[in-house]
Amino acid sequence: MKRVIHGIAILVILALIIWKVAQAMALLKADDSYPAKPIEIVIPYDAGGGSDSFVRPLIKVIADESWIDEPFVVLNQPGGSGTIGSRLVKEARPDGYRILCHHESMITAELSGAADFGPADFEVVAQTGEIVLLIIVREDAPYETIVDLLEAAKQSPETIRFGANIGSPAHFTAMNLEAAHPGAKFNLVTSGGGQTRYTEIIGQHLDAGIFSLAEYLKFRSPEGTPADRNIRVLACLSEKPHPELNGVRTCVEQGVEVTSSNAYYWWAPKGTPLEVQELIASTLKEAMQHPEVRERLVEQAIDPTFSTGEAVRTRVADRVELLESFAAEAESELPNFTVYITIVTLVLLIVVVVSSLRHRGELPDRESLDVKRGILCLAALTTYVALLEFAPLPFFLLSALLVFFLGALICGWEKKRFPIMAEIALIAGLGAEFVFGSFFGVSLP
Amino acid sequence: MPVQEAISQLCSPIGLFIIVLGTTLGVFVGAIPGLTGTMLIALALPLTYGQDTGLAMMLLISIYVGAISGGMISSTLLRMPGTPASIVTTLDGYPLAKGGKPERALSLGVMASFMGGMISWGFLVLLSKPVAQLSTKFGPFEYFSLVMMALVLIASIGGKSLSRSLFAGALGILFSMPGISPATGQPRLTLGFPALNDGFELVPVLVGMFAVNQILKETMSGGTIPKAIELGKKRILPRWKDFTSHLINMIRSSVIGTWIGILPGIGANIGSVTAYAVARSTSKESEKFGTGHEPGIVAAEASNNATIGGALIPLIAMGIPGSVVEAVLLGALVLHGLQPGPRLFTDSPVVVYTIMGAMFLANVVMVIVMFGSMRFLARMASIPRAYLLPVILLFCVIGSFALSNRLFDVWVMLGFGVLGFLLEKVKIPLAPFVIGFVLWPIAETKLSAGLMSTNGDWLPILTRPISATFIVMAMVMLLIPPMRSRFQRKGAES
Repeated sequence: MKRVIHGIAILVILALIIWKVAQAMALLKADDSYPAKPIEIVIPYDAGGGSDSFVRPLIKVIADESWIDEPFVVLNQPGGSGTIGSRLVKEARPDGYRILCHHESMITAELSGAADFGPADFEVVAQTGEIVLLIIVREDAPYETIVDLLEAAKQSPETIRFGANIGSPAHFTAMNLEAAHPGAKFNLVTSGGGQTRYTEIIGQHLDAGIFSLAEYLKFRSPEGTPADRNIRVLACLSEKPHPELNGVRTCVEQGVEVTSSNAYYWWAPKGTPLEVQELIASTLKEAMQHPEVRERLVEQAIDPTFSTGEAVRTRVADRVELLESFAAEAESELPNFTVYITIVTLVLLIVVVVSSLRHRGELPDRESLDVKRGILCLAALTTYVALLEFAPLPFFLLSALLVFFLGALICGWEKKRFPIMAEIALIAGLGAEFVFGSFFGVSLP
Repeated sequence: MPVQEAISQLCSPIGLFIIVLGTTLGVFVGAIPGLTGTMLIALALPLTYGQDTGLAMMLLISIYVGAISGGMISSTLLRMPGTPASIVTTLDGYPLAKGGKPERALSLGVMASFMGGMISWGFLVLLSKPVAQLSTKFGPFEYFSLVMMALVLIASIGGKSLSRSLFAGALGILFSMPGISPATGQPRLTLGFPALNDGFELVPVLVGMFAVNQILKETMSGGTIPKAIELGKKRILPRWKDFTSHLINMIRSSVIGTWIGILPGIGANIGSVTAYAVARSTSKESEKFGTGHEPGIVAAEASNNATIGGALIPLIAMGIPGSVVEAVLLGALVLHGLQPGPRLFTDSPVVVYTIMGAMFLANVVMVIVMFGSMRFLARMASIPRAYLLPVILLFCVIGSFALSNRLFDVWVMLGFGVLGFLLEKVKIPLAPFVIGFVLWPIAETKLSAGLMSTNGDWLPILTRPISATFIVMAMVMLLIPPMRSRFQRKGAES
């Protein structure tokens, strides 16, 4: 029985080694004209989010139609309101293998101080798709037009609770509205994602908020729903009325000179060659016209606009100029939570220390722990991660070594267990690369 | 029809495969002491990225059900609780097994687990929608008070010393603060590392605290484990008589488990302690508890499985996690672009029904897996650690890395592994730390929104009735333990 298991284990290891060698051979054969390897598209948000759902159909069509020799692959790098993923591309080599898809938060993140870089640190390759923004109130709200709302905000300033995350494009739009109707002042309330904003408008914790067209279509309940459980569009922020919203007038039509929208832009690291940028832009242009993509865009209520070259550069410059004029420091009267929590933690720490000094000797149960072994284990782990980060050694080799070393450490260097542990280590190292790399699309370090 | 859609997804070959896979993995991991369901779920979470949301939730829920149930095996046969939820099972399970009836102990445990799961499932189906509708009445201040109550609740019940638990909670809050401030969008406490703009991610923190910490501990203690009690050839399946004679106990313990599960912040171990205590105090033979008494096993196992359904109610209905595992499930829903709350029932009813259906099916599969592989599981519980732990550690590294494709998260995982080890060494509980870490961002966002809408006025926390109720309950819970110990001391003096 044991022999059979060993036999299977060795066969598995051989198969995995063959797979690994074949992969290495394929890499050697590749030539060096652009693109010689897959192009990574960084999405600075989670898989399944708005940006992700926008990009994935595009990528799929590009791979299906093979307009370009190598496929585009998605790398989700969420966090920090999009600044983590953006920074990754900003610091990437300008060779066209790492491109960012990010909307106007790129501009507002710099203006609000969340990031110390902005559009000027990138080459903007293209703009694809435009998100229509709307101003939403509860169905039974007393305002009929955007002017009613702004007038109310002028009559009693700082009482109309307007949902907009501080520093987000919506926040800048709100300031834009205030400026268009002198004297109007909203009480800006931070309000998370569309879901939270919806719940708070229905529960009357917010008086108005900015939603995308897609969010509105999703949240709008059918005709006949009680007025206190539904939402209504006050105005549309696009330049022209939108066909999906019959009868809803734009802000401009209602006499308030504000237009605003959000769009997805494709950014390359500064210094990326022009011909690479053009190749990517032309591929994207073709993808945007593909019927499959069009269908998905209709579902997501995104307008299929496209611009590149000088047109997109002017567009970004215009948006930066407009948003900059409202770049008032986000005023915050909020308590400084960081300081409070630090103080509370320190006070509790003192209480714990004092009480354990007073009750010293009441906790006699000491387990016998081999500290030396723990330190060795930790050192092995630290070395492993450091090598992954800094040394160009293959992942499977390092991992197999780590697994073997830790196993030997735990069993106290018992020689008779070494063969089994070597098998486990090789299967774990190679297997992890095979399973995660091929099935889950995780790009290992 | 969303219900039909959910059922067809659950009963599709891939759906059933995922449920069987998840439950089996959960049972096995639960059966091995030291490996917990929380650890496995945290590791499985990154693998569900980019996969279908329904399938992802099915996998995670079935692991959850499997792991809580599997924990009884090592509790009973090794006297080492496989998961924290089955600590109470050791009290009567081990003595009964030692006394020559290991089959009987396990058989009763599986039966009770199944009943507990099914009864709490009934509550989940009946209660989650009404609770979700109730929660639209909740404004920012109500949410803030609810979260604060959850924090106090876990601190006052979870550990032995209130001040240590509170300190752990505060420390968890402190570690949740670096990154972009939820209210103002400004980065804070990043210590100059741009990578900290996003703060510490949930997965590396959890994997570090629970998995790496455990591996460090096991490495130091030598990785040897005592030999498990072997199963004989006696019948494992329970008989009809066992079912009827324990029925009242099972129903009572399940209801207690469900209600404790609903309370935010506390999970299966508290549920089983409470149900066990109630079973003992209402029994005519209370002195037999702790010596291998059958109702003790039944109470512990029925209630710890019942907390699953209970804890899912506030998670689905309001987005407030009922335990550490639920916190990971909340993260999973958010990662898949879903916001738990009243809209979830209208926006993604299929996902809601899939979650409910997955819990039901996982319970059924759990019984089959447990009875079917009982003898094998009993041997699994004593696999040499030298083979197991290094491979798990490799999974921890990959799991943390895959989250957002950066090694920074792996360093974070290592750091929290050491922190978790040191905290436990000085007897500071980890559960309040994790709950504080998970709940504070919600609390701060809500509080900021509330303060912004009232222009900095704190008073509504106390003047709005629902909010005030939560605050009063939190104060009462904070004051009970010191008062009680004072009375006890007075009683002892006189």
